[in-house]
Amino acid sequence: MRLVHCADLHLDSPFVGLDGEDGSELREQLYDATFRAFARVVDLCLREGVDALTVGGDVYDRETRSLRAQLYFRDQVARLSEAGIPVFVVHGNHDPLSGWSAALTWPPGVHIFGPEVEEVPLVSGGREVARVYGVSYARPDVADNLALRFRRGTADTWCVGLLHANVGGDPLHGPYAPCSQDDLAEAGMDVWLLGHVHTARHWVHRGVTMLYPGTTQGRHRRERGPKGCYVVTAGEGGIRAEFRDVDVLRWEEIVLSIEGFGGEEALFAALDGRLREVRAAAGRPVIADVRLVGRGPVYRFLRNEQWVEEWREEWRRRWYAGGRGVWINRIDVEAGSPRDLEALSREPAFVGELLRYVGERRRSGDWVDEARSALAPLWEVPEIRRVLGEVGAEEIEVWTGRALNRLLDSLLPEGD
Amino acid sequence: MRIQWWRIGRFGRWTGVESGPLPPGLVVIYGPNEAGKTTLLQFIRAMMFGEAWRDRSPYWPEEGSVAGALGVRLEDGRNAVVERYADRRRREFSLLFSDGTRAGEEQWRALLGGVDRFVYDNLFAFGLGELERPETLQDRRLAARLYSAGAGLRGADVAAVEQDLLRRMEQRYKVRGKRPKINDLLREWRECEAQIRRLGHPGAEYEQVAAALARCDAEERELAEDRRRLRERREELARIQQLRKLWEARERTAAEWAELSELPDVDPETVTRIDGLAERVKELRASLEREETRLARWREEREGGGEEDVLWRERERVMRALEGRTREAALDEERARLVREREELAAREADLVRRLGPVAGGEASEGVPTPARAEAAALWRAVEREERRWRDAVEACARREMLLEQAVSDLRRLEERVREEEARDLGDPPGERREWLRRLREIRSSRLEEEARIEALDAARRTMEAARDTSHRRVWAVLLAVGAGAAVAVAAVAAGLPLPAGAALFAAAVAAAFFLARTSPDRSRRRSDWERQRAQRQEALERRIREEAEWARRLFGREDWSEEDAGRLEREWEDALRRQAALSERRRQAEELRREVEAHREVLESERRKLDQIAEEREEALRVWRRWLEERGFPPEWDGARTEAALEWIDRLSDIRRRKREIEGRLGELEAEREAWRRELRSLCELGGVVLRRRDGWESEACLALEERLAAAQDRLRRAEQRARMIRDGEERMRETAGLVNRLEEELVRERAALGAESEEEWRRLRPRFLRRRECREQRRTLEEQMRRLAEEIGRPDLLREVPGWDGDRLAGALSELEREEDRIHRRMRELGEQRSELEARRRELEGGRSLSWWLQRREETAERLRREAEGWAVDALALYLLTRTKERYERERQPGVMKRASTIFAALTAGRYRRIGVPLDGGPWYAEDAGGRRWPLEQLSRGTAEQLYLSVRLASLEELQERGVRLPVMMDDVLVNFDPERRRRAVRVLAEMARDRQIFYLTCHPEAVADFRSAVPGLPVLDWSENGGGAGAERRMERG
Repeated sequence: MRLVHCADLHLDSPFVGLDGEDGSELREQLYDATFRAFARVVDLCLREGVDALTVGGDVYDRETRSLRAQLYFRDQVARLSEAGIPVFVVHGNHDPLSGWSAALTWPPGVHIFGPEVEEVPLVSGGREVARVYGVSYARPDVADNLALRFRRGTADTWCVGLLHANVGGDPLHGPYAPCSQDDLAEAGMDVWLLGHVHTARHWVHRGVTMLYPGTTQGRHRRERGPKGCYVVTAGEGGIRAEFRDVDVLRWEEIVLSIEGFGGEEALFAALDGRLREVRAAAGRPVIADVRLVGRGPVYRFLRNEQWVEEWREEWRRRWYAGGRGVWINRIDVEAGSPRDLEALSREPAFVGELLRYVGERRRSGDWVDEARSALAPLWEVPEIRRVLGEVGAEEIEVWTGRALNRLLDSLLPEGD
Repeated sequence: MRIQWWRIGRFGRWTGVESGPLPPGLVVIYGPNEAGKTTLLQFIRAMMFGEAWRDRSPYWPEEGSVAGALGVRLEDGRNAVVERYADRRRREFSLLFSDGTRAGEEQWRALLGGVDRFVYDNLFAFGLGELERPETLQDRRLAARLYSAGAGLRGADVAAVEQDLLRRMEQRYKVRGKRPKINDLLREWRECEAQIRRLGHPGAEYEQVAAALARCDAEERELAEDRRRLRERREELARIQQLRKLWEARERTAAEWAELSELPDVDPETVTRIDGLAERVKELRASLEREETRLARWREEREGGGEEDVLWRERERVMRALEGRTREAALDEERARLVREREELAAREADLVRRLGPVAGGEASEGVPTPARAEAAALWRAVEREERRWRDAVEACARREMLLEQAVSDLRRLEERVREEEARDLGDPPGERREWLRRLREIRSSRLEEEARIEALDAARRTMEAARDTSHRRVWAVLLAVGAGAAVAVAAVAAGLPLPAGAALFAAAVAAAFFLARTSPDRSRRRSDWERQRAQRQEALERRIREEAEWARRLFGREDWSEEDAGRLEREWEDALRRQAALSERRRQAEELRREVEAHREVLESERRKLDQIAEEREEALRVWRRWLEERGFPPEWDGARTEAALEWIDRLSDIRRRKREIEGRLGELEAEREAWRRELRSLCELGGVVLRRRDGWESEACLALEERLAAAQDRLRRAEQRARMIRDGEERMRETAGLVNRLEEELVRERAALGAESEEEWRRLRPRFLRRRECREQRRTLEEQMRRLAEEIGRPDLLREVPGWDGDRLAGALSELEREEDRIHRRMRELGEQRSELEARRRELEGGRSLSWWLQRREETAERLRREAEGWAVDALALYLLTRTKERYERERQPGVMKRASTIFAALTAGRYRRIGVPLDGGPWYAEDAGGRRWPLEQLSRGTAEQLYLSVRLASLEELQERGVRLPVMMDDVLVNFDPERRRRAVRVLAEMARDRQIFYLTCHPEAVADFRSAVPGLPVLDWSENGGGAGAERRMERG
């Protein structure tokens, strides 16, 4: 048995945390990215001649599924149907069965699992090669342990479990259909093809192979690196999983230390070098978040927000509009000037007083609440609160550091 | 920092004023009113911080610019010059350090320690006006800047940073703002939300759209069916209507036919032919009339022709004269060329004559015969040869003299040196002493050998003594061996072994016998030999010692000597020998030089004689040469090359003069030719009656007139001939045309008569009726055919019988009604089409999902921007919060120190009358606390006391700033004027004390204040401006009390 397993397609979903430009080519690419990534999965199935494609939920991004996404998904699986490759689909928390579905006619060989666990034979080349067990979410907020409903049947063949669930209570993802690895192992399946977690990984627990293929297209700055699907092969040697990337755009983070750069030319050259490396390694267009860290004399340029903004725009023009396929999403300056804060804090002058005061407030334990009250004028705006949420202690700490840097930049001349 | 000098380029009423060197510490400037003290105060402020036209300073000169410079000494010991210039458009600043480096205004501000103009005007350079304004001390700006200054910020300003942060925050977000970025993004986000809400549930809408499209389809189908039926009915009615129209037309044609049927049937082609003939006749008649008119005109022209021109008869002469004009032009060019050449030749001739001189260049000296040239060349070569010989001889004499002088000089130097060395002690030569030394060394060598032998003998004896000791040890060893052998034998016997006992005893006996045999009996003989040899060697040694002492005394004057002494002696001998040899060598060299000098003198004499002879021969050659030159009129100083060139010039001069004569001849010929041509021209003009208006250049006018006359005569003749020919042709054509017209008219009458028209009028009446009769017949047939076909198309051939009974108006009404109905259906179809397009576009949009995705993506991007801007705002907000809190704490902790210091100064100024200045932290009014603890609000203090309080606070602030490293020159303009004498003296003492480590200028117009300062500070420098007030440009006088 050989099949391709993907999940979390999130067709027709937006990119989060992206600073795009109206009417830009990038927006067109983003618009098509999730679709094209799935098309690559289908291409892979056809190229590899696998026995089936399994989709582990969250095909669509919203309960009110985009019609375009539904039509596109149908058209793509139709290609597999024409090639005689069956498709097994479960729906997850983003696209439960309760959501709207267009009255589409699914091509033969496409099986969409219902709200109860079903057992469907996987027939390839005229013989049954496996049994696929699966269940879709009836509604978005499924809190039941669906894994407990799976039980291996009597068929003497490979048993494949297809489920959208949070295994082991991953705190970074919603607690939908929570279950443990033991729950899965006790169901008697040979392999669990899962969905919900957006990072690809596979492991074996109590002799049972379990795998999350991750999302097919990173859509967030936290979804960095290659995204794709697994080619799962079950044979006499057991079960083997092989990851294949299919993403169209790739999120990458570039952390660049400014230490040792004497002038802006060196900084530019270093960034260019890193961008070249990242682009070459990805082999596809890249959305890059640049973080500048460390301390160095070149900070005298970085302290000027206008300068950084102009730099970013110019580098976007060079690296994206120039057809080089790298979109510099943001340049975060977390660097500082090479000043000796310890020595400054011992000075009797105003800056020393400032450093001492900030240190005292940070150590006092009240600083987070005090800072929140200072930020209240903006955070009391409901939309801001909705977009940004409550200000966390970690953010307060980071912003306080940046505020201090800004004050030092303003109060001290360059070079001090 | 302190001011070392100032230079006022232009400021107020001052121009070009320069101070002398200014001392550190306290400087009092005394001058009456209008001496310029306040101007100086303003100037210092302007130099420190700049001045701009927009400030509207009253000290801007009318010229519209200010300029000046300050020389300052910085805290780090460097000197610097600050220079400023400003006019209405530009401001210039220059900071030049003593090490030659330059810096900008930013660095200057840093050197001022963060003090800005506001602080400087109120704390460092102030007059009575500022002192009396208490509000400035309580001004938040002053407080903020006071704490910025010297707060280690080196140029930054806390208040400015606060303002900047606030500005940045407001650029990002403002409550109820519209323009700030966050406000804008929030609006965008809300719009995205609304759009997403609207588009967020596409299912229902998709179904509505699909249903609407289906309804559209159904209605369109119905309408299409209705429209088809209507079209069929309308087409049928239209045919019937057409049939009715055809019938009506046929009826009209039939009625007309009834009237025309009696006329003969005339072919329309016959009518057309007759019309063509009539038209042709008409055209020919018109042509005849035009021709007649033309001929009449030509005949008139021929008749008015005139007589033949007289010049036309003489046209051959005229043509020749006109050709002469062309030739004259060519001759003019030649003439001009010849004149130019003549002028050039004249110039070259003059140049050559100038070079040759009047005699050689005269008319008579044309051409030089070749023999003369050869002679000149030979003579000059002889001169050159003699010259070379003479120069060689002179050089040889000079060279020889130089050699002689050199040799004489060398000889003198050598003789001098020989004399010097002869006078010097050259040392003693070694002589036989070298042999003595060799002998002494041999004796010492022998002595040493003897000593070595004696030592060897002593060593041999000691060896022998040692050998005897060894013999004693051997005896004891034999005895022990024998004893041991005996013991073994006893033991063997005791053990019953007689053989080993016997062997042991035998071995012991053999050992004893061997030892006794080896002990020598001649030991005493050898000892006596040694003693004898020792005595002989000792004797020889003593002899050598005595000999050595004797020879040493002879050589060194003492008995003890060493090889070092011998070496030194040998070196002295070597030096003496070397010096002797050198002296001998120099004597020999001197002798050789004397011989050489004599030889040089002899050769020199010989060469001088030879030189005199060569000089005479040279003079003779020159005389011959000059004579030759004089004979030819050349200057006698000329050399061969010059003469050769002159001969060449004479040849050229001859050529030039010959060419000039040729040119003159040719010019004469040209002039004669021109005169003949002119005469001919005049003659022709007179003949033809041509009047010439111009005196100069009349030739061209005459030629032009003659040409015109000839051309006019020729043209007239040509035209007359042409007219005659045209008249003949025209008359011929008219005759032919008239014949043709007659023939055509006859034919026309014949044709018309054949159709019954006897006259033109009759033909005009009948002609249209003939044509209409034929048309009616054809039209009736055509209409009947069309009706038949239409009836067949309708499918009812019997309709033709019903047609006469139909009502045309009713048919038209029914058709209009059908068209209106079809229009309605068409409009509805169009509406449905538009509706369908919209619905399909919407369905495509829903299927494509683009709009919702677009809004979702846009919302995410907006959220990201919002997040970024909010972070920026948060950072600024936290920075502002931290800055404000820090500043409050900083002020709170620093202010008491300043006020405490101010209280001390205030107490000193008021002799303890007041002990404290109170500044409530809650911002309440200031007060003064007297010695009894009573608090006095400022408004209850006298003016002088209040000013003392303000002065105290300012001085305390200066102290505070100085502690933070800000030490700038202080300038006070008569601020003590309202103090009573006692408090003024106290204030003067305080200022004098403060001036120990800073520079303070005190400007005053009160002599008593100057006296107070002088009594407080002996030797105080006072700049006295009393004599030269107003800044007249002179350097101020400085007095020391």
